[in-house]
Amino acid sequence: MIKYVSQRLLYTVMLLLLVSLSVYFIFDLLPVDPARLVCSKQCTPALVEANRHRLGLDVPVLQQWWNFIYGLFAGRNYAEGAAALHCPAPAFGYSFSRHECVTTILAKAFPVTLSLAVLAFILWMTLGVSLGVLAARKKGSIFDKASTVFVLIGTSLPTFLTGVLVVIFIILKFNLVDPLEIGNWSNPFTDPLGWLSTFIWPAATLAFAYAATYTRFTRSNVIETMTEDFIRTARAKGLSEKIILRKHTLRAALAPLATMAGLDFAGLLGGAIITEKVFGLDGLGGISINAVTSSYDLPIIVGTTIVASAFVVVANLIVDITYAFIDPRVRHA
Amino acid sequence: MNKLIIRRIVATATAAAFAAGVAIGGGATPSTAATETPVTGGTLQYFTHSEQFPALDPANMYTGRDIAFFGAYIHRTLVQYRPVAGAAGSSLVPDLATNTGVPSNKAKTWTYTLRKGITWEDGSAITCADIKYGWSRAFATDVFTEGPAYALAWLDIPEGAYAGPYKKTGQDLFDKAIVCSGDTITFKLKRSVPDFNYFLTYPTTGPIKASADTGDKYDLKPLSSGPYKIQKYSINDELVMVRNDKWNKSSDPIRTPYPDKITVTFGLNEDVRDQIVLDDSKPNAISLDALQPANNIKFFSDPANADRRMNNYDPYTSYLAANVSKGHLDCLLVRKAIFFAFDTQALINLSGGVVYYGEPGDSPVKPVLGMDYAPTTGNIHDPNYKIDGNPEYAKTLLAQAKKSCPTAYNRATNKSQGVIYYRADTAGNKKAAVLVEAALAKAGIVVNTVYKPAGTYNANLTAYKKQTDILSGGWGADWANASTVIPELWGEGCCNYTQNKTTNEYKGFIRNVNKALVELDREKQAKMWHSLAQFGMDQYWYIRTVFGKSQQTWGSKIGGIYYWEPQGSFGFGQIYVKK
Amino acid sequence: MVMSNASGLRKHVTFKEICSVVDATVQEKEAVDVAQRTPKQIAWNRFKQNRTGVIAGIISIGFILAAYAAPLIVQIFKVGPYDLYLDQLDPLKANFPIGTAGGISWAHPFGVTPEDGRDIFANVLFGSRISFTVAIITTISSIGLGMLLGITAGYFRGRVDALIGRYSDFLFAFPSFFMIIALSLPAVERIQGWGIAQGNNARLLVLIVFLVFFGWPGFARLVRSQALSLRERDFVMAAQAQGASNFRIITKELLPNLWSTAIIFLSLALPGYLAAEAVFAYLGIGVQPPAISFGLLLDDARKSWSSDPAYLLITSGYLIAIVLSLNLLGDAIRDAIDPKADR
Repeated sequence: MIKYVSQRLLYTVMLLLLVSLSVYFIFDLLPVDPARLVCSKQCTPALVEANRHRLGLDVPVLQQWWNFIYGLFAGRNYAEGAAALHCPAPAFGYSFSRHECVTTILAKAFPVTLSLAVLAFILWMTLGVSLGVLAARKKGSIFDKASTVFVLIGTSLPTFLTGVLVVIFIILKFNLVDPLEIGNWSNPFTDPLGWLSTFIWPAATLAFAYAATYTRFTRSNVIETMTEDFIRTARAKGLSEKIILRKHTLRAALAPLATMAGLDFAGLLGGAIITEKVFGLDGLGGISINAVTSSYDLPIIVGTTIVASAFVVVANLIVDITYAFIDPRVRHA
Repeated sequence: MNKLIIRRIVATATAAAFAAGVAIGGGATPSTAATETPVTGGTLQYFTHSEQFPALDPANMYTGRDIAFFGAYIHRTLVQYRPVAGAAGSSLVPDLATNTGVPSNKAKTWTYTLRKGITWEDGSAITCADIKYGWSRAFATDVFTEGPAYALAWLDIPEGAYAGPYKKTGQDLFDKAIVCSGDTITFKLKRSVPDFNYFLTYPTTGPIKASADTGDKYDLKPLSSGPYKIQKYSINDELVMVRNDKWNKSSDPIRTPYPDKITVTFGLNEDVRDQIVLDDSKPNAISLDALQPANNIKFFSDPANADRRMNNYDPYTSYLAANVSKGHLDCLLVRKAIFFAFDTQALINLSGGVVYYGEPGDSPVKPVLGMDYAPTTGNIHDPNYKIDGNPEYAKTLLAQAKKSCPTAYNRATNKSQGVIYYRADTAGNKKAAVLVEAALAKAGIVVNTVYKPAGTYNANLTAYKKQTDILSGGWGADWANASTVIPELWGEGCCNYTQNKTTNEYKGFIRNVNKALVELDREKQAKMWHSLAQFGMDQYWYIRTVFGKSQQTWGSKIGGIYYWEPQGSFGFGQIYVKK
Repeated sequence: MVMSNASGLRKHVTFKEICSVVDATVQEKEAVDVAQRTPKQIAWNRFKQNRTGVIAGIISIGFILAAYAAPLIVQIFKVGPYDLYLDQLDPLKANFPIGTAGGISWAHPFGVTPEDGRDIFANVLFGSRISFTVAIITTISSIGLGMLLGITAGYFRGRVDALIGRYSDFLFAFPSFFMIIALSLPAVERIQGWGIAQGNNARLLVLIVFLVFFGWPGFARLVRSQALSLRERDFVMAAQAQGASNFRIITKELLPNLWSTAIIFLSLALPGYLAAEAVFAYLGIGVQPPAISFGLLLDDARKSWSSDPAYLLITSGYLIAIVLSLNLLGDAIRDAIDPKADR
């Protein structure tokens, strides 16, 4: 078991290193010159060169990558002399458009993304699973048909459209949120109501699409499980339908849901780009899309990419290890 | 884009010309402003779609609105524009200094004396050394890239010899160029600069306390010298300013702070922003952005909103610069054909009419600049010019071009190539491009529009100018002298995107520009600018220009609004929140 | 499957679902040989009995035909997608359409766009053409690549399998949706610089290449696991015993058993990629005017919603109708191939 876990751990670390390395290579290949982008109209070749040095881009790409990895553990200095800037470990870089260490920016953005992910997760799991189970139990009823319609609409509407419609036709029309407060961060512990009013609509928008998929998945899993032999056995034993559902059907039908939910949640931790953009949330998704569209701020782009992939990779690791605990065969495969 | 400052060298001549400018502009400032008594207290809110201000650090500040905004609230300078509506707003008044500057040695030396009792937000006195340190930062071009470059061009320091206060190379040279003696500060310049004092309204010329300077990070929390100080600045979130209790009225003759607190909300969804203005749902708030065209017209066409809006000629001339180098639009006839085929009326309709659009221009110099503007001949005054395009005439020009310059002709009419047209990737530009392409197609000209990311468009113009055939941009004079327009746009200045240096005409042109720059007789200089503008327009270096207008909107509980002409923006300092 | 969840595009089907479908069809193949009916015939018969599915299928085909016959249709209606009907606009209202509901009339059944006066009907048809093209090319390329690599990995196993598996792990680790956004602009410039394609062709090429690049591993994993199990089946073993070449086994024995997986993937990925084009256009990636695409129309409509809500409702309604009917069709196809799911 220890061998398996350490193997997976090593593999995960390798994967992350590889991802970060390829991010550096990809951006080096492409014709973006961040040194020129932060250089305004008085741009001279000497100034571009100075900027390149300031951004740490005046060394070969492998060296740049190594400096990045080194900075993650040891912190990093940018610029020189009296104008020097220090970013303590873990240093993801320095953003000259936001005048801050990328780590600080990421640390500010993460609670926003986490709030959105957690609230959306709660909403879609509650809604999706309960709708799915009910629809499966009352298969063919009006309720089942209504849930099918919900699933179809949920899976057909792109999130950006739902989001825009929510902002335009719900929030603004009915003045539900102070328009200047849309997307404003409030601390959930000191101002729970403010937090809720900021996140409930984006979370509902996000949860809408997820809930549809989870409803469908739950429904088909429950129906499938109900035809399995062990359920028939349970029924033959004379157990009540309630107990069969709770103790046997749901346990078997919802287990695969846990994996899917874990991976989906991890994906969201990397930032829900569309939802955050539509609702003006300054989470990981929001800052990454702004970094691309408004200033092409490479340190932020690289930072958010690596953080997002770290969430996905680590979630996969957790799922793998959990499976190994549950099912010993995996370890030896 | 630069800012415009109106300067009155010859008071009478400019005042007359300027009055004409205002007349076109129409009722600039709501009449209520003058009659009501300002209210102290309350919270004044601003909101914008932008993620952040381009700069809070004085060394990087170069847009009129930001200079007006931060100049009113936190950044004091040696001199200021008078904070009043109308032409009087363009006159200078002392701020941190006791005078607007004493020139000597043929205006090669300027001397100022600091006021008593001026303080930073931490209570320490603002000293002559602080002003000097503030100036030195402009030389750290590796740290600050956005501000104006006049300090580098004018101070008596050999080019490139001083590297700023961080590297300190050549510090002794800088120490000789700016000399402090008690409360007296002396600037020594390379050449005569009779309008030096107008530059001192730029925050980059103001004081910076060396011990508080954090380099690049200073932008997030600059130390205030004005009536407000920054409590919180969080990009894409909000800026909160509260009263600076160390500031006192007796040391500041021009600022009259009314609200207790001022906030700016960033990153607002454009639909949300427009809806706030349309519904007046935030009566104590002001939009820092123009509305989307559709909403703009909706708002302005409703008489109920008459007290919450203004519409003025802004300081900017927008232009279409032609790349006149070999292999691009190196043919005058083709450039002319593009101009005559242009359907300006369609673009006017798109922005809701001339009331909002402004009017077709005939020079890079805008009429609001005063005596340096004179109507040119040709272009929009040509008998063949039609406001909705004259494709027939454009075709005859093209037919001539086919013989005299077949390469450029082919480029412009070839379906797979076409005239490459770079523009910023914005919704409005996309709509406009469709109309432009359709209009030019009528004359057989193919336009290949290339959209470039809006956020970095201006920063990249230097790179773009070599790739494109036509490039859209905008420029406002730094002050009322075409010396900050024609040399900058067509000569050796920062923003010449025409590639005209490759042409034969340029040599003669630049010789005359350099003559005009050193001409001391202002009347004569103005005439020289007139003929230089005429020359460039005849060459169609700029295929067309537009004298644009801009609109501002605010909530119903806002008072004290006026249009501050020198900055082309609100006069922020006098705004208050009604009870 | 299609893309990271953050993209707003949902997984329409899960790994397990498709596995069960394919298992079912493989078993069926063995069973129905007795009844002398091919699984295709059985699935087809079952599909024909699903009324919703048939209607959705007809509507879907209608949408696709309308998209590709757009040049003909607009000639019948005497409108052009690029023509500017400026006379339908009111210059006193910032060029907003004259008349009710965004200028709906007999000449312009969906009205005209504000500001530049394009016919919305013609634009929706032409817009769906680009969107369909992107979606179809992407889906088919993903299936082709996924099929090739999935079979290779599953059938040959060993080092090839490990290599492909590691590589797809690596691709999965990327926040693909964001990478497409971040890399598109510079990649388009590079492609234009190389002279491979210009303008909108370059943008479409980049979008399709990126979508396929990040899209194939999902399908390849499905195919791999199917191939893994198929190669242990008797009929494959028998073929191997008879000395059939690997190529013959793959083409004659494996591929016929994988078509259902491909069809299900196709029917479910297509609407996803169709919406993807719209999402990317909303973010300013993908084609640019004067070309027409769904995303551009929607983004344009969104900006003028307060003065011209009909524009937004019509364009978004049309997109939703297409995606909805394709989804319903996809469900019906899956039901037909796999009756066990019992929807």
